[in-house]
Amino acid sequence: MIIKSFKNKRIKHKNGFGLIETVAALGVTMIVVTSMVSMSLYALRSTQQSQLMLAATKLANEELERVRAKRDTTTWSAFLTAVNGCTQLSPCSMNELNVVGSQNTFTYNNVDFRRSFVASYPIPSDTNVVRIGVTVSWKFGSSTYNKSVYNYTDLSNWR
Amino acid sequence: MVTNLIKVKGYNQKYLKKSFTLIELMVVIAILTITAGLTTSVIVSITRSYSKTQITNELEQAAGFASQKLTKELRNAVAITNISSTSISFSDHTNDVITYRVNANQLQRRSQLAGTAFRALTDTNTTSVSCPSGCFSELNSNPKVISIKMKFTSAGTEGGTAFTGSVDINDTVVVRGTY
Repeated sequence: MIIKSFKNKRIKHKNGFGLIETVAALGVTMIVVTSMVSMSLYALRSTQQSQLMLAATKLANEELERVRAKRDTTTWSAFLTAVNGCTQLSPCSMNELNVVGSQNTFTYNNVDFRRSFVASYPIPSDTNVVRIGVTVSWKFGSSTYNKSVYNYTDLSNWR
Repeated sequence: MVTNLIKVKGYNQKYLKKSFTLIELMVVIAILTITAGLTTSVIVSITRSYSKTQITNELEQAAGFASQKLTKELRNAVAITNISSTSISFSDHTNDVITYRVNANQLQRRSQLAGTAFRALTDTNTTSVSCPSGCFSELNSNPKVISIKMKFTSAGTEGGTAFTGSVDINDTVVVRGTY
């Protein structure tokens, strides 16, 4: 039985490996190599994205601190006036301690970032609490500003 | 028994007789070389940007730790005793005077009560700190609002190519004790 099968094999492979077989083997090798490369590319890209997310979270917190500083350096009514126009349709950003009526676009570590915040009343009947929501979005590679980080804080009239 | 049989039947002889021709072998080697070349260059660039990302990531963590420690202490300060573009001193509730300064490319901290010397907050071997546009400045006097701007850089030489990762810190702190 064993002898027979070996005989058959020998007859089939009379001509050794052909080019077709070698190319097929190469094809398999290339598929394996390509998938490994694309896997590591994917891993790299997600590491870069998580790093950018970390950076964006830090940038969002910086903005929140500036808005908080704005509240603490003016009266509550002046603060409300300053952030009054900061809605989803026309978001604001901070320049040192001044509220600017547009989003802030800048480059950080060769990546284009956009930073803006909106102000709203989380409790509709209470004008002593203002919710500041900061959105930081970024452009990675040739994509648009499709990744973003959102963070918010509620500021109250504590004085 | 089985291997003997193959040898007896001349399997090896046949294999040697009718296998690759030189042309076939060269075609295979050419394809393999092209594949290997492309793969290697891709893998090298992946490795390089991976280690770069990792260095920036670690730097981000280190800078975040240092700036959080500084902002937390500064926020709870009672008064600012001295401020310049590269150093800031403030007193806290325990009558301690804490000084932060950027000196010799390091962010250093000293507590007067503890009586210790200036100590760096980040790894002195890998990380350096600079003030491209002044590290400490006062934005508002009553209450005191301090702006902190620092640049943390870290140099690496992975894969034979030197590169620098950098992280900017841009904090605004209201000193609560000065309300």
